[in-house]
Amino acid sequence: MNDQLQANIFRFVFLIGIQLLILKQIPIELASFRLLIFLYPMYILLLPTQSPKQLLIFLGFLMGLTLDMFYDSPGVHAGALVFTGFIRDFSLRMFGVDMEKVKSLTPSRANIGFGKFAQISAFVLFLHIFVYYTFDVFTFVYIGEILVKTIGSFIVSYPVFLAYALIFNSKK
Amino acid sequence: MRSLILLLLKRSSLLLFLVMELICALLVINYNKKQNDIFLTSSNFFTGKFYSQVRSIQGYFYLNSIADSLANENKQLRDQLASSRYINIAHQDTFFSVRADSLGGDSILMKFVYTDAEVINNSVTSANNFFTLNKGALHGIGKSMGVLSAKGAVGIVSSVSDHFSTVRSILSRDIKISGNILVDGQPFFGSLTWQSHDYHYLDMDFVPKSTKISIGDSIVTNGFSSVFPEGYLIGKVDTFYVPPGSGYYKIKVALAEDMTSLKRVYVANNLLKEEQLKLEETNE
Repeated sequence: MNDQLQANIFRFVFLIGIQLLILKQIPIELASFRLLIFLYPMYILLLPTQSPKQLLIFLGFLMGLTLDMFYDSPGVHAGALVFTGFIRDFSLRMFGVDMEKVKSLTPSRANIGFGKFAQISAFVLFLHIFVYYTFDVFTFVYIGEILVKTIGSFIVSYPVFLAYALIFNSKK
Repeated sequence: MRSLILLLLKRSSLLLFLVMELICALLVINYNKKQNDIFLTSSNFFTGKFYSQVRSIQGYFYLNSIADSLANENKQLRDQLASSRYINIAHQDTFFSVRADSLGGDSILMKFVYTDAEVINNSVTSANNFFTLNKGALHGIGKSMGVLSAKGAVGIVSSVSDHFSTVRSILSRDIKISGNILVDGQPFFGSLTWQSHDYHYLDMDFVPKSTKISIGDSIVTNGFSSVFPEGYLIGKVDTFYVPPGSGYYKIKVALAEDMTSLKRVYVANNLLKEEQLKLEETNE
């Protein structure tokens, strides 16, 4: 249990570090929009399966606000990550993860298999990015722009997501 | 009501979710309006320090281009020295042209003083973009001062801490700059906003269609708002058209500065600003 706590605290700092020091510095462009690369939602996705939903939401808020401080966008990352925390358990169940079997473990590639992990992360990541840009633009008048940015960001973020899962394969 | 509360208690995660999302939405909305909570922005001490560390490492990779742009700018400044000064004498004789540097003593007042600063964090990805400077209140930077780069106007200071400041980039949906379009050297007033969300362009409105503009005409700051000194380039006309039924052009302005690679900027402090604002207030 203590190990698990440590692993999760480390992951919190580590993912924020990668996000700010590497991913934030990479310029990616689509249809003249600059896009973000998202890796940090991985943190919420990998929290242990027995974590109460309230904790998922709260940690989402905390991590989101931390990122917002660095991105100068109060509420935008937080809003998206709170949403991601809210739908995490639902998405695991939707893709048929046996919550009893992986009880108290992290739903990582090692514990649920790469196929399932890839599907779930695609689902969670896409929704996260969509909510992020919705909060950012904050009006559905620009729904076209939101969709273009979401799809673009998803295409560049998803490989990073999978690469992370292939490199770091935590069992805790 | 009772059963509603019971339901919410039973599903407290839903309640928490809704409350948290509400807080986030309020943060998003308020930040765009008030712009005075600095604890959540990169001008706070912690994030500011982080970015200046990152920047000091990255700095080495840009040394060449920075030196070039500084040399270039020095050349321009030599040509322009008089333009930031306010000439405090009445022009009574139109035959008599005054050079600011030919006047001595009390007749010249400083109107703008500049503080140079380095951009330590920058974004162009959002609908509201900001960048952070490595100087703050202790260096004389204050709220709503204009920020210029070597190539033109780039933003307005939105919040300041002792050592850092956050600047609302001209790439923000809430920003509005008044500018002049120069048609054969003749200035025509217009208003610039960022509607396209494309970081290469701004949109200019309220230029009457009787004006004979053409592609490549320069757009410069006009100093009406007391934020920017007059005559600094913003961009050039890229395309334009007159929407049906309108008396004004819609102009797409290609920005002079590449907003993705801002490094050195100058913060312009207008010393006569309060006087101007006070006067304008009495007229309202």
